[in-house]
Amino acid sequence: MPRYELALIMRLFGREKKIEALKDTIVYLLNEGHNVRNVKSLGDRGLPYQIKAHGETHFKGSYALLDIDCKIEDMNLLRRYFSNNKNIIRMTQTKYERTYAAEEPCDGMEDVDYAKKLEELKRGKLKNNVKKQSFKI
Amino acid sequence: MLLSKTSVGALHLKNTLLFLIPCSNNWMYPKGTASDSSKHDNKSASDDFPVSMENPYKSFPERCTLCGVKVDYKNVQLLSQFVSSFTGLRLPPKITPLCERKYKEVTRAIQLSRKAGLMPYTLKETTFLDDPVLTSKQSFKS
Repeated sequence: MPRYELALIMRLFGREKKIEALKDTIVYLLNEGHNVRNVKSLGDRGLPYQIKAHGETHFKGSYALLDIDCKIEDMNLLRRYFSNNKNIIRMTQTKYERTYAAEEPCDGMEDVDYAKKLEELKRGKLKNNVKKQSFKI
Repeated sequence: MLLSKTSVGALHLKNTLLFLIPCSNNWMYPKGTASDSSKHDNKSASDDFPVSMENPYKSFPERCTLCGVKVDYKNVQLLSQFVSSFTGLRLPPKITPLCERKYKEVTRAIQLSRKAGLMPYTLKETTFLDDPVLTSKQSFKS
């Protein structure tokens, strides 16, 4: 079972209601058979942009993090639960190892071999990989 | 100095101390000249040739500013350093002092954080506007 990290945004409540909302989600997860490792709350703040959910526009919210061990097949059912829950505005899942795994060692920036690049350009190898990006600063 | 009673052409010094310092090479013939005695020694010519070795003045490879630093989608302050303060869009790679690998990680983290509701799309957070600038400013002249 892979390890996921869920970043939740919930509606602004007082302290007591916030605990009830988190409890309901954790009880549901444990009853379904998943494993909850850790819960963190990151505080309340104004959202960076307005979000519409369940017929309302939200300007402020409270953030939370969950560490979960969940099967890949049951992830779709979890998404349905979070979308139907009216207390939760948004949920994003990421793999735990992507953010917290150890980095690969790097030797440093290597010098560009321009002679090789010229040959590849002439043969047309780089044309497929190059994508023109237009930047507006 | 006492001079003895001899002919004028010869001067004999009596009762004088002469300090003779022993030396291998005569001071009349310093090293490097044609009459150097070391050249007549029994040494092979290959001992004087230069020895092959790595360049001792070679500089170490450069490292980008985020070498060894983990990029996280929750770290909005770090990601907003690579976003323009005028439009909120990410900066091109030529200006940023990042290598290719780190630039790709930063772009993916920016897209994730915007989706998750942590970072705005069209602007840069006001609390992070006074952060130090890592980009080269010459491109903003045009």
